[in-house]
Amino acid sequence: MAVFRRIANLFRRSRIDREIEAELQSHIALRIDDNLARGMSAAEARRDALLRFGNPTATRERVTAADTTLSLNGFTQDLHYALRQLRRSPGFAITATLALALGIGPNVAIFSIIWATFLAPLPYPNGNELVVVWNHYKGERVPTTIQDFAYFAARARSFQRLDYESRGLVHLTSADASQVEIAGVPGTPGSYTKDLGIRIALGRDFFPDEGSPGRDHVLVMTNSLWRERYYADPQIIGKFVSVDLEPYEVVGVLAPSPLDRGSAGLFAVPILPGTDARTAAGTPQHGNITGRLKPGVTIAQAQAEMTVIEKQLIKDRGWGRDGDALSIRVEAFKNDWLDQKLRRSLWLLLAAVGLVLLIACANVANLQLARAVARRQEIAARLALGATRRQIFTQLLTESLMLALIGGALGVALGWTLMKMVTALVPDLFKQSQAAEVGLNLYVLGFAVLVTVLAAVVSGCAPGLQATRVNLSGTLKQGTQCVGKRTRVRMQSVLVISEFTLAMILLAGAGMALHSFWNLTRIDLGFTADHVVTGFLGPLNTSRTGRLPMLPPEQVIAKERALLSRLSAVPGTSHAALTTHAPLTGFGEFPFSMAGQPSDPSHPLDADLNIVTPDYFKTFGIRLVRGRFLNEGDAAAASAVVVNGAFVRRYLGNADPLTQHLRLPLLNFPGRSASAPPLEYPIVGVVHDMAQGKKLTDDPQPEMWVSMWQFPSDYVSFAVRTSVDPEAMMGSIRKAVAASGYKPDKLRTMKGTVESLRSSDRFEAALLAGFAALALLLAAVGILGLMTFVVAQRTHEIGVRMALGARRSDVVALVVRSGMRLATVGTAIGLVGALTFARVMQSTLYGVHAIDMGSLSAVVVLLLGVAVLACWIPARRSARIDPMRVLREE
Amino acid sequence: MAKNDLQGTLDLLVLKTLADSGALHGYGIVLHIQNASGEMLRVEEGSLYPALHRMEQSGWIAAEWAMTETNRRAKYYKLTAAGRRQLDIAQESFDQLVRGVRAVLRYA
Repeated sequence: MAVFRRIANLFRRSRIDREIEAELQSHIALRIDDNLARGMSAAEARRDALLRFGNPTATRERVTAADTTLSLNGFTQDLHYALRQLRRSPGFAITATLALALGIGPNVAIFSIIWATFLAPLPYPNGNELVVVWNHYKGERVPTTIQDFAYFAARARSFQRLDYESRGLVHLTSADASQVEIAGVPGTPGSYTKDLGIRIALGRDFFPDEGSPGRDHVLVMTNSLWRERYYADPQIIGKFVSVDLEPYEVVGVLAPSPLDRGSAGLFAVPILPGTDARTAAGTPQHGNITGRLKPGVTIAQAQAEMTVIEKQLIKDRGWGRDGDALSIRVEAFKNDWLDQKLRRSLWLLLAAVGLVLLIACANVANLQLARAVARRQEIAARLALGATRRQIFTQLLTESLMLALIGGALGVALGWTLMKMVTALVPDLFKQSQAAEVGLNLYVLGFAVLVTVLAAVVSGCAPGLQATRVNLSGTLKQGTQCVGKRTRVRMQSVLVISEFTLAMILLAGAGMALHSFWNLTRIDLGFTADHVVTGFLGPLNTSRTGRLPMLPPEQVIAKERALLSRLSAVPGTSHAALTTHAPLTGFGEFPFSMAGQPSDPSHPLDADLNIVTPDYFKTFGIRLVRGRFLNEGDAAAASAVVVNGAFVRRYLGNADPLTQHLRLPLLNFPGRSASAPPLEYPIVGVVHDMAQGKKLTDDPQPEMWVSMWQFPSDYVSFAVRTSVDPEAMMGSIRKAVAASGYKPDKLRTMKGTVESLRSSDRFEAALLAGFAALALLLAAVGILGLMTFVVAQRTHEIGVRMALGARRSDVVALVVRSGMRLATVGTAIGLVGALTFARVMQSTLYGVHAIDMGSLSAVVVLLLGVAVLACWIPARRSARIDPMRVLREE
Repeated sequence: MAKNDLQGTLDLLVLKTLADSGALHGYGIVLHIQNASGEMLRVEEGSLYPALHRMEQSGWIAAEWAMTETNRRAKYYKLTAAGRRQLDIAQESFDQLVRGVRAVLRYA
């Protein structure tokens, strides 16, 4: 298109200037040649050529102008005209740009998050070679142990290197452990420098053998940590800092990189796969495998190789049944580390904001249609004066584009604000997308421009086409009234109906999401999450990667009793307990059999086993159903077991649970040998089911509790019930734990844990509700605008009706009825769409049926209620029409 | 009414010239118009080149650098399909102008 060619020319100015110069010079040279051929002297020939040519500078400037600005004339004229038109009707201009801004803003916000999360290219050299190797277990991504990583690393040939990053973070701490400051990531040496390709700014990278026991107390920090915490100290190399209460030597500082944002951690410590299956924390290291493909190796090839290796691994480890559910996936290293549910939510929200934009466009189209009526005479006059229909159409489209551009600019500003709000709403959900930052960048702006132009075309085409189909003589002869109103209103009605359809779909989605979230907040957890702090006990003064010293059981018990009494002595503590796992950390499977029944080896019974100190039940506020809790007297071997309701339902049927005994193959207690047969434990109590699974919505599973004083286990979780604000007690709890010879780790309030499990649902529900409210508002404005227009068009008719005896209430009813007909049709069509939308959403919802009558009827009432209100405003105005004046005007 | 100004006339002359003689450079166009009009019309270079570039931007003519017979580099213009259509339009409107002016002259 000529306009684009000229705009492009503006950016190639210097090249064009040179070409023009060359062309004019060649003209003069050709003239000189001819003059010479005609026998002039060289000087004469040149002088004549220049004379005939005239002022070369002036000519050059005019030629340049022809190539660029001058020829934009038509377009700039259109723009000027559009601006003038918009200035003449500020009410229309403001309403339309606001509607477009409201439509475009959410799109920008959600797209910026989607861009950073899924689409952004990696800011690392040869980022396309980077991969993540995920283990999938029953369809979910699961972490890999460092031993499995070692197994793969020793065999895989597709990679330049494979690296490992542990999820067991370490922390820079204050001297008395009362504060956790900055997280760091244990990783294999070279993972940042060789894998990601980040340079070392100061000092050195880890040596390849650093990370083995005794050689792991070294640290490489990011540039931002170095600058902000250590004031860019050039002497930092060789200094010692305290990591988890142990001295670490700083050996290197990284160059500025995306890691500076510290979404995972701001420093690295080395780990290497040890020979031990278990490391210091008492549990296997869990983490992620990242890698860099060899040049020319595709992801599919790497995948094939890793699958073969994993098959071998499963065989070697003898995992059998469990192994079959495992699969390994080599995936391009992207920013999609968010959980599946949130990823689905983001796409869903993008669809939702798309609908909002469509509604906004329909609104603007409607406004323009209404305005086109007022402009009929203007357009007819221009056509009569010789403008082509195409010129008029271009002009009208230019006006739409202008509106959309202003709306788009406002929308980008709105989107930026919204994006900041969204990321603040759920900060931890976006912590992991470390490679790309959620923000406004060229790609997001490009998307905004695309959306804006689309909006302009969508909202401008229909009015443009309609406006050019003017019956010239008819329009020029008559006034603005009573002209072809039937067809025009039909088109506007269709637009309003589709607005209500789209709004209905969105409202139904939001209603379901809110319903689901409401259900989530009302789940009976089975324990009281308020005022509880949980945390892990880590080992102190041991190598991070080395073997743990095994204390004799009596000493473990003594140490833990001392810890509990210290915790209880902290002011504000009401109960303190230890447990092998706290609520909401997942179910385990522990085999057992019923006493007095032969055990069937092919169908072993299993249940989740918790080993707890007696105050555990009171600390978590668990409700007793029958019998009693464990108590301090249950210290002797095989003295008592407590089970939950789910256990009774699954395994005990109608038998009285308090008369039953369980055979538990527990070995680890004083004075029993490994070969002794399992002891029988009497069930002394039944407690209410509680949320033990990793999700709030997991069904309760059979659980058993035995006393930790029978089975001393070191490095477990602890929990404290406080009588004051638990956040305020974190520091003193840390101090008490550290003073007892343990490293306090991962302290959280139980309430915080519960909240974070709901955060992606809250995110989805809150945003969908917000967008639906926006859709509702736009639809209301749409129908309000149309009815105002209709009333204006029918002033005459209404006046006549009133003169013939219609009462005001009749007139109001007439207008409201005609508006509600549209709203009802739109809502009804929307219901069908909502059911489809519901099917897409349903898998992410909790306790909501595919046809959620409750929320559907609520949103239908809401939507129609708002529609009545929106119709009533112009209807009331119509009732104020003075019939006498209308009739006199005619 | 058709667009009847001097610029339109120059456009018509250039388009017609290119339609008759294929590809020509600016200097060649000046010479051709001069010769074909029996030295009656002389095109100003100061108007010709802006017109050529404007027509190129409008897509009526296309340009390309080539060597002349005297071995100089020059920019050659030739007519495009759109230019051929434009030529018809310009010719038609010029004929109208001439008829109109004649009619007025006869009347007066």
